[in-house]
Amino acid sequence: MRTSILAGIAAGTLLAAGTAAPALAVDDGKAELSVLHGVPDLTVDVYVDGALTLDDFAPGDLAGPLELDPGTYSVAITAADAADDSDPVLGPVDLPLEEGMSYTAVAHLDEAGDPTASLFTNDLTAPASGEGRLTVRHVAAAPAVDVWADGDVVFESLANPDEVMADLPVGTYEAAVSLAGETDPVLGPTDVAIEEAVNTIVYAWGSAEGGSLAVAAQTVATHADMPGAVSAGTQGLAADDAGIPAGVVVVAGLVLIAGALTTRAVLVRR
Amino acid sequence: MRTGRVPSIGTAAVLAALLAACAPAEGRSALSTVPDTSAAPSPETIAAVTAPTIVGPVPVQRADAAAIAQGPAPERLVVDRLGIDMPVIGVGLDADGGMELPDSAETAGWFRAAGNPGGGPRGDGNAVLAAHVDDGVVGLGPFAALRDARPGDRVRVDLDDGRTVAYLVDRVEQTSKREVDLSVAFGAAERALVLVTCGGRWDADVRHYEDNVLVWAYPEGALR
Repeated sequence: MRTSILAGIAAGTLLAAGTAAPALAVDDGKAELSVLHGVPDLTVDVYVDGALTLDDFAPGDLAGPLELDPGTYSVAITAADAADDSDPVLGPVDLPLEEGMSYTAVAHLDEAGDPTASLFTNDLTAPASGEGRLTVRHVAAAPAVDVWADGDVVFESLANPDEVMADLPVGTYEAAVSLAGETDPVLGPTDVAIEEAVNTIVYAWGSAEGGSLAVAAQTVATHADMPGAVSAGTQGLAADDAGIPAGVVVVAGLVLIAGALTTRAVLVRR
Repeated sequence: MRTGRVPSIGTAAVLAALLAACAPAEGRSALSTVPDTSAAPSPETIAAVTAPTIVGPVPVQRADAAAIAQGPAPERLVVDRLGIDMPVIGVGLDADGGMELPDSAETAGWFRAAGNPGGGPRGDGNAVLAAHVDDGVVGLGPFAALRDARPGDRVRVDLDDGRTVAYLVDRVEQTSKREVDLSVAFGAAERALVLVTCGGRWDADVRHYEDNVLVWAYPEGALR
């Protein structure tokens, strides 16, 4: 039935209604970069292309997001009391950033406990309506882990420095991390809210041996499919024109029907 | 007794048919193609290696549990001068790619994938609240008053965390659904609050209004 109604609508209307626009999560022509400090017990300075960009950057801190021109940036991390970036504790590393993309650079420990850096790309593709995205990244000096949600293993054997992700219906999930194949949580359980068109990124960081395992998190707005139409009326009661709205006709009809029935009822009772 | 029931059953059936009748206008978008946003930029679009200077202070926050807590959501919309005071629920897309709307004209839908007045990762985007201008149960709904909005009208969005965000109306637009640019309303990052309903002529043949009414409001105190 809907098809036959549609047939009456001009083709131009169809085209106009088809302008469902994706909302861009990153500004036109830019790249987005966040920086997470995931090395325990080490406050640092961060130099980008030789310029001091983050002063006294502490473990567990998240900087950004920065809107940057696409290109390759050289990042060096030094002790917090360094005068310049000539003697980095980490780097310099090159971060190639592409237009329209979102990144998180993470300074962290590798599985053996040595400082390293990883550049992750944050997935901005639009989740389905009603869903958000969960990303889990293992950046801790710890063996492979299993990730649990609401009592079930959802990601198995995630190893440093890997990531896993899934799109989930909007809601709050009880998340936990155990060593792979085990059930006792080494992190959590903790509530993680998944919101529409948001990539919630959870990091396991720190050191199992050092007793400093911790959870860090960031949220990134993804692209989203926007509606092609807002059809916000059903009756014609708010119409500009003087024609009798359908709702009135219906109500009048119902009154007539009700009246007829009442009359009949009276007759029957007699 | 039997006679008393018959009209009410009839009413329910007619109302159901009328509510469903809102669908044709939405149905048009089912034929549209949603642009694929998942494609990464092609290599040609990547600029040559550059080394621009990062400008300004860099925001730094603790990457702690706050990021994984449930963010705030709008739960009530109030426009005193227009007599609007209604609950708000979160909505997404309907099956046809149109904006899902609460059945009742007395409840507004907040499009969750656009901006969030309460802030958070979607805090920069325009927030869109829409409601049916009428329905078969209550007749005209609160949003029927939107076309009487005037610049300077104060709009309040109450959030479910107890906070309130205040906006001032900037303009009212009534635009043919054929021409309305929803991409700006839903997609721009102006922190605007856009209230949307239907208006204009009622096309009885396809059972939808020909126009969209959009009220644009901006955060109180924001420079415009």
